[in-house]
Amino acid sequence: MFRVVRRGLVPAAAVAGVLCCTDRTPLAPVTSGGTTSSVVITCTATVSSPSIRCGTDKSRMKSDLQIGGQGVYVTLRSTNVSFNAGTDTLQGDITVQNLMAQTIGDSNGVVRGVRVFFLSDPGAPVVTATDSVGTFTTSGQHYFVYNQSIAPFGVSNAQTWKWALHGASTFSFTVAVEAKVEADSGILRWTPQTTTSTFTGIWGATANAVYAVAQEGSIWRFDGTTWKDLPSGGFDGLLGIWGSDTNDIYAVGGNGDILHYDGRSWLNETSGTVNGLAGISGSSSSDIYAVGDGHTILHFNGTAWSPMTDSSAQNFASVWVATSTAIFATGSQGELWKGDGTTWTKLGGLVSPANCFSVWASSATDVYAACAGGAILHYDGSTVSTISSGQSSNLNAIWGSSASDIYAFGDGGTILHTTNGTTWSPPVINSFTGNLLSAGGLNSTTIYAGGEQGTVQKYNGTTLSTSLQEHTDALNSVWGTGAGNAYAVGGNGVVVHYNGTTWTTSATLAASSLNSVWGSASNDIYTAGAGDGVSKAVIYHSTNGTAWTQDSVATSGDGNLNAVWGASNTSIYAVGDGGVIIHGQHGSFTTQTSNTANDLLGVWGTTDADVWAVGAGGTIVHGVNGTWTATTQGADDINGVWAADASHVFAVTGGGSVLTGNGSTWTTLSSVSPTPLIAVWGTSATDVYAAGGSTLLHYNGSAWTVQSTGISSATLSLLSVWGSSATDVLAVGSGIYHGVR
Amino acid sequence: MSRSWIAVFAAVGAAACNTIGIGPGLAPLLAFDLLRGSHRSIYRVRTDGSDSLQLTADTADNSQPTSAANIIVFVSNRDGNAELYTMPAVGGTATRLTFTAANEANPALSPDGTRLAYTRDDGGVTRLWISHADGSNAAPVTDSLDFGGAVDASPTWAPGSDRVAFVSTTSGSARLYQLTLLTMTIVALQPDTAPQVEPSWSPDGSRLAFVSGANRGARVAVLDLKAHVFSFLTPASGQNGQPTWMPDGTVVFLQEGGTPALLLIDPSAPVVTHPIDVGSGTPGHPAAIKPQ
Repeated sequence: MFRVVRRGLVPAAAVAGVLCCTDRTPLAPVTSGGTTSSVVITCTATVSSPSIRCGTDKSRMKSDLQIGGQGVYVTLRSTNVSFNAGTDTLQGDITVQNLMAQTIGDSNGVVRGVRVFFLSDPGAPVVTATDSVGTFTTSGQHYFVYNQSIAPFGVSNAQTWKWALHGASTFSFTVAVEAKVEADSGILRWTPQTTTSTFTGIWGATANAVYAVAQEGSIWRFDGTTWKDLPSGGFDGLLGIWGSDTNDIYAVGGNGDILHYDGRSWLNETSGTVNGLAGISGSSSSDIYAVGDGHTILHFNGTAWSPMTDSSAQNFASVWVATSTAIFATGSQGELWKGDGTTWTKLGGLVSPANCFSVWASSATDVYAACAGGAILHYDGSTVSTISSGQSSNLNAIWGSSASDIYAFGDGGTILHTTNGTTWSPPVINSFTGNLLSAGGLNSTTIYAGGEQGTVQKYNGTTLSTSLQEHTDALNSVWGTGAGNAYAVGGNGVVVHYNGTTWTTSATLAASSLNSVWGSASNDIYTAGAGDGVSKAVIYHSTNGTAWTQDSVATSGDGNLNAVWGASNTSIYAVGDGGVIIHGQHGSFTTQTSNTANDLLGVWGTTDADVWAVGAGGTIVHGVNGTWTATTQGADDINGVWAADASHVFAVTGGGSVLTGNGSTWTTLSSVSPTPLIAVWGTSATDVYAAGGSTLLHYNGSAWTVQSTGISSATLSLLSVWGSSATDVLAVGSGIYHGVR
Repeated sequence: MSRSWIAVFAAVGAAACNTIGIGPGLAPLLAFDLLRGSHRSIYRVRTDGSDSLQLTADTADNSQPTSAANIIVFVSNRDGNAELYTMPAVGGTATRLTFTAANEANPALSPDGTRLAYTRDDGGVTRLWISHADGSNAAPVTDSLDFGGAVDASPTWAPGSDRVAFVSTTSGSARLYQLTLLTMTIVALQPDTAPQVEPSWSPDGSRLAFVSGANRGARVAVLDLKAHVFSFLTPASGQNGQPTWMPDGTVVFLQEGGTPALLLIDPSAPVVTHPIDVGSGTPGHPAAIKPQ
């Protein structure tokens, strides 16, 4: 039997217009310890046009504060900045947003608060009215107390800061944030490095600033060279993205989520609805429309979002603003609606109701909608007509650079082009056969389409190329020798290599799935996975990560191997279905008697005299120089094991429990995770990570704490974790996620 | 290497008097900044209150002086943001040393006058830099220590100009660290679990004065680098900071609670403090002007 749990990824094949509705509330920390962390913010306040600006980005948002490091750890924002000439005071309401992977301001479940302290005061004659004075990095530092904890990507309540100016017109100051965090070693910020999620929305500002949202909740930016994630907090099912400029971008998704990016970090805005939102478009920063389920239409006037009234019964999937008085939306009933800024009117639709997924217009009188079954709606300013594209596959996205240069994208990699709106044909043969669900562009030679398998394609009017698709298969295991050399293996025999900057496919092996990778050195790497299905286990060896040779070992059962680990370069253990254990090295593997028939799912040890293999039904077998003794701990599958040393062994279960062993006895800590735990790894007994499903946990020696990866729990699936150090950790599964200090 | 530190609690009297001995001849000189009116200026004064002299006369904020080899380096915002400037120890024309969009602050001249340690906040993160005394050859030195959001502060030089003690928050709260320039290695000095800030190296190199920030307070303490023990010079009830060693082995620090004032204390007899008369205004950042 092959362990489903090792490849139990959530399918990422959502279609635009179909929204996820799972709870996105961040998991509460199991518990937390107590160390403090501080980060820096440099600010300038101006009295003449009351404003507070911080950091190096001073291009807009005159009422905002920003953390040093461009919103890497926390972001401070200000609102209601005002000057009182009578009292000669400046004041503003300041909030703190936590961008780190763990709750700040909490210690062992007790709120300890967040303190914002002044590294440098405004200087004479300005006087800050702060809460108190204390020692942080120097003596006598003024500070404000936010008496609360702040969850990852959460925002604090506002506090009013006030300065007595004594005639000053401008002043500068530097502040830092201090807050209790779970553990120094747990201060990691997680960002996805690759994704297999589906790109559901694309918007481009310039050739060096193209943005795409993925269903998993990640948001990616193309800088002209590479795609990188913009940490957003992991909101469910993002489906649309649009901006007025690179410092004013909106993304919409499930639960009525509207995220706003101000050039520094993403902040969840109040939408006033819990209906899923699927499309967003605007004419300016103060005229934006978002549409979604339950015939929801929202309008943003530059200050707030408000609902608009319409009589539609459909779930809107897409909106396009042609002009401020010509806004078009379509959706699940195949209806095309028009708004004039005040009222919405149905223009027409498909003869038989069906999904229309995307709308685009070259003008108020030239509107297209891409629909199911290859249908295309067209509105010429007076009537709506249905155009046959000649395709039967769903068309999910439509975009054009002009009335005579329009593209439609759909299932199975469909790309259609028209110059007259009537005749549609593929402009190029697309080798990608996954569904394309989103489109956007800059001009007739810069068109992007996004879709399944983490794919973004670019068409330049002549040639179609892959702009982003690191890999397409789920990854089951990760291992490396350092921060600049790691391997991950996964489905369809894929082996991907990380050089410290990018991941590339280094090999595709014959195995239908590779389940584990481990090596003794960069030139001695093993990976194992699916067997021949009858009686042979296959384990691969490489000296360079590119060329692999295989050893076939006769075993009982299907030959599937689930984990590999070595005590040395001559003593490699691989365990698999049916209690199979093979041992040896490349060219000389033999089987060992495990004394269990249960599937073995994980293996780790400290020496040949102390090897642990774990598996189905609570199986634990301990190996001492090739002699194995089997026991059980509970009934849950034990999916992974890792040992800091002989007396600190950690194992994780499908029931979300963690077992800790001292070499002779095991202690079970139940319900540590709400999802099955698959993998465990650490750098020491006080720095351990456990991963499984949407959960990533960190253990600091006393308690397990949830780490936020910033990816929606609806789509995140973690299967393996490994790091080069306590401050450089990789987790893989539905994508590759990197945790760094 | 793990070291265990033992706190020795010295009895500290609260009353100030003028009986402390500060040696024969002229009392040591110190530079400091003084807020008088709407801006801070650099001054000097002897620890007995004599020889007071204003060294900067412009209307910008000038602060955080450090002195060695007959020069004073200080922070000024006269050109917009915080930059470092140098001038003769007797005052005179100031020469700008740093020219960046970042803020340079916390300067510390090496005792031999050849190098300068200071903090610079590129990208909003304050890091320790070291340059030649004229500002050239500047380079950050804590990349191997600090995580992205860590704050460095308050460098101080060992008498041999070969080591720098400073503050970093890389482990969470503020802690003292020592950088050895020859090897560019950094080790932690961990006398206490409370925040440790504002170190100042003693003239003989055997001790560090610093400020312990337990319970948000500020107590001046002295760490014996050989015996691995520290003792408090000031009481827990006070708010005292910015200690600096004088060449004669006394320590000048800032009384921050109540009316700010510069006080002199003899670490060998820390039961009395000696106020230093600097006139009206709010003093800060005392730094010894060392004899050459």
